[in-house]
Amino acid sequence: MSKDDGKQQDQKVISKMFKRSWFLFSSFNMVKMQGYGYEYAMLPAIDEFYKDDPEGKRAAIERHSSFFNCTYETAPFIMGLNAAMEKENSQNPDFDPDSINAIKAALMGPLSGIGDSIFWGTLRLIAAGIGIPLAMKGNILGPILFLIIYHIPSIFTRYKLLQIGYTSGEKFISSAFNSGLFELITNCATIVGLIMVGAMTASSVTIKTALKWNMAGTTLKLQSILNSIMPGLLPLLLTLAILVLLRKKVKVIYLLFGVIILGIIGAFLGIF
Amino acid sequence: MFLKALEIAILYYVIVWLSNMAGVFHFNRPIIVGPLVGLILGDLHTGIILGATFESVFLGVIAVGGAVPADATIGSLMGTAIAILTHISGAKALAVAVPVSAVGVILMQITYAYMPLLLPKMDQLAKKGDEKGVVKYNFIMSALFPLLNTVIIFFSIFLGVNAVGNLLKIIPKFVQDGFTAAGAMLPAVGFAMLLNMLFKGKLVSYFFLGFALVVYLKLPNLAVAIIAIVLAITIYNTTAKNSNPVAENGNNQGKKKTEEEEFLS
Repeated sequence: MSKDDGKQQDQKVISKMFKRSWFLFSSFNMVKMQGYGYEYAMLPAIDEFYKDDPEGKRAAIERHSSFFNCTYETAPFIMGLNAAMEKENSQNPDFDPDSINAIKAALMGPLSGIGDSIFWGTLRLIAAGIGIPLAMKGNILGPILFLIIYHIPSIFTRYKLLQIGYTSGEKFISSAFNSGLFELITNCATIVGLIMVGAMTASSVTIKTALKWNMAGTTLKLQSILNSIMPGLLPLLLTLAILVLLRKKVKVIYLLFGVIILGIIGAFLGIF
Repeated sequence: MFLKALEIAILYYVIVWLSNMAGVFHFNRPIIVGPLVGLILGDLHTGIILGATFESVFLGVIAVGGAVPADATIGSLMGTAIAILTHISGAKALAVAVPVSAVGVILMQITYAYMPLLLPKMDQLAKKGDEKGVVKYNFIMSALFPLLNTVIIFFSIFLGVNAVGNLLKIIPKFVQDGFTAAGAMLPAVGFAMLLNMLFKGKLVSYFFLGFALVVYLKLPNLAVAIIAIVLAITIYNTTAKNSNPVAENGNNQGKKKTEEEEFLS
């Protein structure tokens, strides 16, 4: 087989796997999580590399039916890397097939950490931060932009990571781990995420108190006093108070209903 | 009402299948669900606005580690549908969306309980190396996932919308005002959850930077996002340069090799 043929074969496998990587969550359940969705994405590689080896193919199918859970956008990197390892395994009798699942298990955690902070903690917030104000005014561009802003980087990342994983996976990981690149990327994404959460706390959480007193002939409005101390002080305090409760392991559903009850009692007493 | 209930139920099925199974991620978020319900019920404008309202409430209420704190999809779908069908206000729609999202969590747990029932069969197929069977059962499972909620949504709209609508019409004014106030405060729960997820000792101060940019400089979210990204790129570049002087240098191949082996072992 010439080198060009090999490249063409690789490209074919990558594009088939990319199409199937969309279905990572297809059979999501609490036991194997994305396990079978992952296997579905791996099957084109298994088909290709174990064409003439039915026992190898059977073992590979069984191998990839194990537990898997990783952020949707970063999981294709592991798929690509695993595909390259399956190729090696099919050609090299000395290759230890256990390392395929070992690397899968080892990478799920770190890649979820990066993926969650970039995509769930950052990109989704930016997309929503742009989409919500538009949609609040009844503009259909709000929801459309929300999807576009999220999906273009998401699709690009999945394709690119699949390719990197397949072609230069192991080298990439070892150098990324050695140079602390993973942690740095996670930290930078976290910084953007935190700034966005701060901004959206200020713009989306609104509490205005209607309390006022008559003192020596003038009306004293509590809200204007608070505003002169710091605008948005009440939303900030509420958010931080809920954070403290969350860290004390209070259930989210109680917090949601707690805020509603707070609103109703506040409205009843004339505070809001 | 039969036809509308059927349409909404089918819409739910398609949304959940596309977003949870077929990777059209976030298609099940309130900001998308609201307009789609509006489109089906002939009031797109209300749908968009209610979708945005519910999105800000549920934006930060996300599943971390498999535990679902509130089902934003079913909550916003029912809230929007009932609001449009019975002509109630946004604050009252919130009074539907939040409790329904809580019930949605219970339904999701039932779904999570029956989903693994097919796993022994799938494992058996995988063991035999039956590729076609594995793929087939993978998609059978994906088809089963939204089914329970779809059926329940159909019956709740078919049988219950008018009752809920009438109930909501008689709630006293201060309760309605309370819901309006709560609606503006609820995003705090979500943002606190995000803060908790992103919580890293040294970095938390950046939260206050974002807050100050909006409160004092009145910047729109897009401007804050641009500033934040530029800041992150600057930090990335300076840190990468300082901590990793030999990264570009290919002379330490031998060292790399051993560390790679360490990692793989």
